[in-house]
Amino acid sequence: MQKQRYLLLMDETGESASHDLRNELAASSLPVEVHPVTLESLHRSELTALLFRQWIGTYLYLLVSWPLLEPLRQLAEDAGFSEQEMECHGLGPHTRQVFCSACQKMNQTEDETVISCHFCGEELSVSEHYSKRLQAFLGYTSIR
Amino acid sequence: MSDQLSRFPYPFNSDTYRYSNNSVLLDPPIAIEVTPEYLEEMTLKRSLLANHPNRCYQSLPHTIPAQWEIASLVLHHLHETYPEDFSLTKEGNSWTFSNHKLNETQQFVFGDVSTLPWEPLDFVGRHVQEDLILMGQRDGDLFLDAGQLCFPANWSLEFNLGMNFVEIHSPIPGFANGNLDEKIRNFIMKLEVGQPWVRRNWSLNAGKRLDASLETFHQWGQMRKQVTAENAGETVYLRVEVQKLFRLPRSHAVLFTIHSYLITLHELAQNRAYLEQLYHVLVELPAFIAEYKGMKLYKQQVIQYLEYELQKERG
Ligand code: HEM
Repeated sequence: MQKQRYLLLMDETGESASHDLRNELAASSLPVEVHPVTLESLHRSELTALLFRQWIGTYLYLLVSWPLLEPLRQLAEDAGFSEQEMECHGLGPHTRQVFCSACQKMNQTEDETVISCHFCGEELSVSEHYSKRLQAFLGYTSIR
Repeated sequence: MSDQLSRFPYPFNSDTYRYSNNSVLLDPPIAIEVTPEYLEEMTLKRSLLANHPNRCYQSLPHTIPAQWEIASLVLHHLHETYPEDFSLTKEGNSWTFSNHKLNETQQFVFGDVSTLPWEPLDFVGRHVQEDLILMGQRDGDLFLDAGQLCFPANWSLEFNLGMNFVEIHSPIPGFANGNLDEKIRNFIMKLEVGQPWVRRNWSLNAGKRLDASLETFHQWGQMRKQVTAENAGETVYLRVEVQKLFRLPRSHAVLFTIHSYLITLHELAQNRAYLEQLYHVLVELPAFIAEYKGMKLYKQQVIQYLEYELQKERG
């Protein structure tokens, strides 16, 4: 793909982490659009509309904290961006949240596939079922 | 045939089962069915709502207008379908609903939430056996915006709140093959006012448990280990969900109702054709569907039981 313009989506953490990248892009003489995102804006149609109205040739950068990355990446994919048309940078501590189906509390984990819930002790298998609202994966209990 | 069996919404029309859009037009177009189990199930529902409010009721704040539409639809259907048991009178916006089965009367001002003890969806759900889900439609998609869910088949309303149709169905293996998930979503988005649809979903349950909530799976799921070929007739139930889809005219949202029915395999086997067909469906059922439906641990025992019953009847 011939890059014609850049679109940067970033949250507060991305703001400070993106100085070098922005200088680099500014030097490229292609147009650069920077757009702030927050957890709330994920659910607003402006963000969806922004992604959907991009033309072929837009190269997308995502610079956001880890919990925002996956939902944003999915949104971009829905809007038609392929892997070759975007670059994803997760920032800050790489934890993922796991919602305990037994006690409904949130566990902070790294990349384990089975955990025991920090609150109720139930063994949870971490699924791919993801809630954008809770920014969490579902942890299923088992009957062992 | 027993009364229970003749009323049962038998789910199969073929000897094999695959995921598909098995919806048909609903005739008559009534959302609610009151069965002889009404009092028993309402008692269970009310106690679940009292003890586990977050598990059983969730709503996003913008849903109140659509909730009123659901309240109106449900109360009218109750009154028009079962006039002896439910009455609804209106003077302007002043409504009086009486549930003669439960001996309860509620007066309220339609459109004014402060005149009801609960949100409108949470209120009407307390008078029907159905679980009620509100799917909002916007940006070319459907979202789970609110629901009252007391009898789930192993899923969590609290976790799923706010998800779109495809996200909700993502745990089902193979459901996205051939974009079935998107096709069904697009079908629902074209739903028309006054043209509701209905489908039947089925699974097996070890134990009599309408409240098969994901939140308590580690407890009730244990029953799956107790099933043997000898006791399957009494311990294993065919669970059928009659699911209906209604378009709400003002908010353009969708009302999705779920009425769950349970019947023991022993009772079901009294109908020879049902017995034979369930046997064929289970023998042929692909492992990934059996696993998703949670019957992996005891499917073989159930098949043995059904075989035994079939032989018995052959004499
Ligand atoms: C619009 C309202 C609907 C809602 C809110 C809804 C919700 C759900 C949920 C929560 C599950 C369980 C997923 C899990 O394991 O976490 C499910 C399963 C399923 N849904 Fe839906 N659904 C809807 C409509 C439909 C329609 C119209 C169809 C098909 C025409 C359908 C087909 C299925 C199937 C095949 C399963 C798997 C059930 C099984 O194997 O037992 N759904 N649905």
